[in-house]
Amino acid sequence: MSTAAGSDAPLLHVEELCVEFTIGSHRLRAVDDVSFDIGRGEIVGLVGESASGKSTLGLAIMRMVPGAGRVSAKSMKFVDQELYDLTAAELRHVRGNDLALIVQDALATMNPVITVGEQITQVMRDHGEKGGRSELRRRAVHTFREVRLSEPEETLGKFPHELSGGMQQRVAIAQGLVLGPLLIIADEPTTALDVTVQAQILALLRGIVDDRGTSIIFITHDLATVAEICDRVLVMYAGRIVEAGAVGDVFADPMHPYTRALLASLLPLDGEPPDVLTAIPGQPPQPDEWPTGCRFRPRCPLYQALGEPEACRTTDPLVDETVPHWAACHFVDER
Amino acid sequence: MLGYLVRRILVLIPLLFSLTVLLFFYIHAVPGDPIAGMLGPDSTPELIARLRHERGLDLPLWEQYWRWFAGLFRGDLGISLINGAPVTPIVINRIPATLQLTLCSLFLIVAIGFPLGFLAGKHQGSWIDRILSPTALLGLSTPAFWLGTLLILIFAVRLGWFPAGGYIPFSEDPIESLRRTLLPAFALGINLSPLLARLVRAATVELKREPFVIQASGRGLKPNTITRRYLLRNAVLPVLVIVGMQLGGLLGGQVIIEQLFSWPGVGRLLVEGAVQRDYLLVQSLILVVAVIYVLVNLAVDVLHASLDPRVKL
Amino acid sequence: MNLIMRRQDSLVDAVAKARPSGGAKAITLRAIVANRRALTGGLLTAIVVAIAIVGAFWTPYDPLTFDAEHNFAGPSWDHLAGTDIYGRDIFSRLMAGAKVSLLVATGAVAGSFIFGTALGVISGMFKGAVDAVLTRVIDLMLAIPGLVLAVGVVTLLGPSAVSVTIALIGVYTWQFARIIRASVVAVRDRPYVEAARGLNMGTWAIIVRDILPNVMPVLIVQSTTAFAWGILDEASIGFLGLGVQPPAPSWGSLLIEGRQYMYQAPWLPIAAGAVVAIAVLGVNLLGDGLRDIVDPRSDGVKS
Repeated sequence: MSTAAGSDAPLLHVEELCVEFTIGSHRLRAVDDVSFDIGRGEIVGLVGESASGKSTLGLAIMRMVPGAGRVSAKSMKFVDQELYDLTAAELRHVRGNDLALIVQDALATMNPVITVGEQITQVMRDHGEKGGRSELRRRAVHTFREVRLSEPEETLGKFPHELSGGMQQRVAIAQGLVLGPLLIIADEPTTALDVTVQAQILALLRGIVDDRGTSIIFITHDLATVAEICDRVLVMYAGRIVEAGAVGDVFADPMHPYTRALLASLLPLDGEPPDVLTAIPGQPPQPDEWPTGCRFRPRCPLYQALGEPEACRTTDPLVDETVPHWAACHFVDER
Repeated sequence: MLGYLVRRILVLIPLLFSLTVLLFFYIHAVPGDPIAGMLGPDSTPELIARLRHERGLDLPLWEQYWRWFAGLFRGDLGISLINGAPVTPIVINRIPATLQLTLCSLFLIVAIGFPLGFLAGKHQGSWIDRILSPTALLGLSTPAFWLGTLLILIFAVRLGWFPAGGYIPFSEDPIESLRRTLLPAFALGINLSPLLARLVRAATVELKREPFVIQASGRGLKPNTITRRYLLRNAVLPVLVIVGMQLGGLLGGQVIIEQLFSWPGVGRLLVEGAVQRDYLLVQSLILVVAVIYVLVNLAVDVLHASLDPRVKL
Repeated sequence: MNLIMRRQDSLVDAVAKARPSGGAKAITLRAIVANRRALTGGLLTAIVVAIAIVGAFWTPYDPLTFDAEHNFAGPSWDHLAGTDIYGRDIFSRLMAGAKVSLLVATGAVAGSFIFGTALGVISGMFKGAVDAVLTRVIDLMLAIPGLVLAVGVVTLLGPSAVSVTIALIGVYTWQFARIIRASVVAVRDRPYVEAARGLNMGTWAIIVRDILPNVMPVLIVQSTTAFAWGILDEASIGFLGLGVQPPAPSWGSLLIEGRQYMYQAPWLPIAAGAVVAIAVLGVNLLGDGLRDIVDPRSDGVKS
């Protein structure tokens, strides 16, 4: 498995991305110097607790960071164009055509007073898709069928609030999917759904990748879903990526104490649950109170175990990000 | 839709009933002897007693209410205290003029206020946005009688563009009829449009922050589509609510504007009744105005329901 | 209950809920000076009140004495706002009339403050049938346009300053009651009120000690707004010929004369209307500013 990118250039290349919010006189870095690549046809999990900056990262790729935020990056290359050099018109073309965002609350992202059929055909029409009303409707039905909506024709005439939660998410995915995007950013798309529906949506996303060669950045706080559908995983903590690697490698041999803690708090998918459910002590820090040195230090069991070494307090762990599996920890070898 | 309408009308029945009870006892709770007040210093106890008897005002209060209410049920608004004439035909005679003025005025309020508020909300911080708040306050503080007077002095007396008043039925001469309605409708509504604009602005600003509007641009929809189908289409809904709420002010202002522009509507009839101290007439007229208010609000609600698929029909 | 009314109610409730958990913010002199609208409005209001007080004792000309030689004189340095049909100085009459107008407005606010607060507190504190009935009565009374209702009361009482005051109390009381009820409901279930109940304090003691201080800022804002309505409505009722009767000067009674002689002496209605507009604008600005101080999140203009 691992990257299906092969020798080609990556679909998305992100280098030294920072997102800063200015609130009053405070400047908060939600995303701090993050670099990664996304290859074609792979699902990359972006895992972290709340306030780790994972959703902001997704918005930054969409160029949808709200007004108070400032995005800077050495490079944000999507296919062959720098995303942040695009004009408004070019950006509009890329959004929808090549890039799609799917979020947790599907209902809130749909116009409440227009039927879902009208909304999906509107996406096609605004991207200059040819064809009359019936042709666009036919394509909408086709996409609805692709996301496994059981009654695609009837659904066209429904308003968003008339659908069940799972159907709403399917319709939202269909709206993102209809123009065949290259990259889907899925921000906790299944969190609000019950377990069976969750599994169906995950299978659906996996199927899209397998059939179409689309790539997905799957943002979640839940390692279990990552294990289920992702090829690679990026673990985020306090605005930074602390560990990256193929899902199999990371789960088999987690290198960062934070990843280890996350995995330990996970119920095993098979077998007996552990006697003691380990949770990570303490709260994830907010962007305005990130500690110096290693940001995980205050909660790090390894730091305690090693007798609070000075390096953790003073220095950012530097890593070689070119290797397939890496972690940002001074004591990777101590695990 | 039909079921919704029927349900709403069914709810209306106890509402209107309570309204009649409340109004009747409110009016009768006011101290003093209205008959003596009406007849003035020339009245004698015998005269008062005779009039009371003739108009049925010597009956117990409950019975008086019952007679009034039973009459209302048959569409009979009772009789005038002054001359015993039935009120209903007089009122019916006056309703078209009032309706025409109210509707024209509502139209002006929305036609001016909605686009202003929408633009101000869409372009926050633009000059339209900045002048909106002070203008709204100025509008609220400008008495209708003053505005009306100024309009008459400028447009009727000085410029001679419009007549200073007088109503011509629409059926008689539609163009002249509307020409005559314009000035009073303007005087009645113009100070409410900046207020509507402010509320539309607030609604639009809120809409811009809605996930579905943000996500619309994330889906790469055209700015024009977002404005029309996402912002405008949704901003219409709160406007309906606001219009319903402002109607009370409009119906009150009507009384003044009809007086100023010699407009033979219900409001002017109310003032005529009040000047003559014909409280039976006035009581029925207040009910008519309140019922108009309730009915227009019902219409607004139904319109709202038909435009917002989320409202359960 | 009809949908519109429920919506209005929820609007008020929303405003009450939106307030910071510590209750409405206190109105201090410092806060007023810092708020531009409150300051401007406060100064305008102060000027109007000062003129009314001066006008009660001294005016440039006697407001009631005829001067047939100078009737219908336009505005000049001798007569700032011109003269009326009997040659009386309109500026003096406006000064003298301010007293009655402001007294009517004050009386209307004071009366509706007392009755409205009582109704609102009772309705808010007692759940169940009392609240249900009172809420419906309040909603229904609010469905009758205020000026129309006031005209009804004046019909029975006859035209005078006192009857206008009573009529306006009968209109504003319901507005007060609704807003106070919403505020009371918002503080009713707060922990300290619960605690007071736990200490077995009587309902009335809780109302006086815990509830009223909390709704006071809201009451002050509402009173200011109602004062503006009072000035406007006294003038409107006067304009209809149902208020203070000429020759006694009040802004309302001056407006009837203004209407009668609109064509011969346009300065009369213009001046009288302008005075009312300025006074109402001042008080409205003050109320708006106070609302900002009490509840920074509110929308400002009353709907």
